[in-house]
Amino acid sequence: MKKIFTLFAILITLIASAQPQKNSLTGSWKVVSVETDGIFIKKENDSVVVSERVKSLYKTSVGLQDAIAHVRSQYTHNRFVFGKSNTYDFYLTENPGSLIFHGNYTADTNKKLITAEVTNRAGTSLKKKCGMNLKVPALNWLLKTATA
Amino acid sequence: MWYEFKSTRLKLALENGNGVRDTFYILEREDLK
Repeated sequence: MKKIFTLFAILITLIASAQPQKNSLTGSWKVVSVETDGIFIKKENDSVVVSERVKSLYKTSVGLQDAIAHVRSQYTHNRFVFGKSNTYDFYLTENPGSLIFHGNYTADTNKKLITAEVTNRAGTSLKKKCGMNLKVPALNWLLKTATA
Repeated sequence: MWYEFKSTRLKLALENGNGVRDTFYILEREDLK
């Protein structure tokens, strides 16, 4: 009976450790919505909102549709992967072959800053700084890009 | 972990090289589902 209990406890521990923790950055993050260049796309219902400023930039709807298509293809399928051993990977899409940046990140909780040192596909080293704004109730990160 | 999540969603803003925040994401962890 004691052995069964021990095995059960080990099994529960293994299952629990295999589950991603909800309150952890570790894991793979996919895009729910993105806004860039005045174009907002929500993937869940594929809704698109374009600012009036951006609309005024295009004389025809074709140009605007191209801009929307660009955002859709370049941003809505991005993946941000934070590994358990502080690895950081950024993918253009869910395809593992679309890795854009690979490196490691460190966190400075006093400065509320994450710094990721990565290499791009061309082998160029870059330094990325990610600031954390705790004033926002939901988690709010600032990923600041700076070329080293 | 050194931080605390209020939600399983992550709000992320990217800055370009000029320090302008130009891309805003809402992300969802895909391995929780």
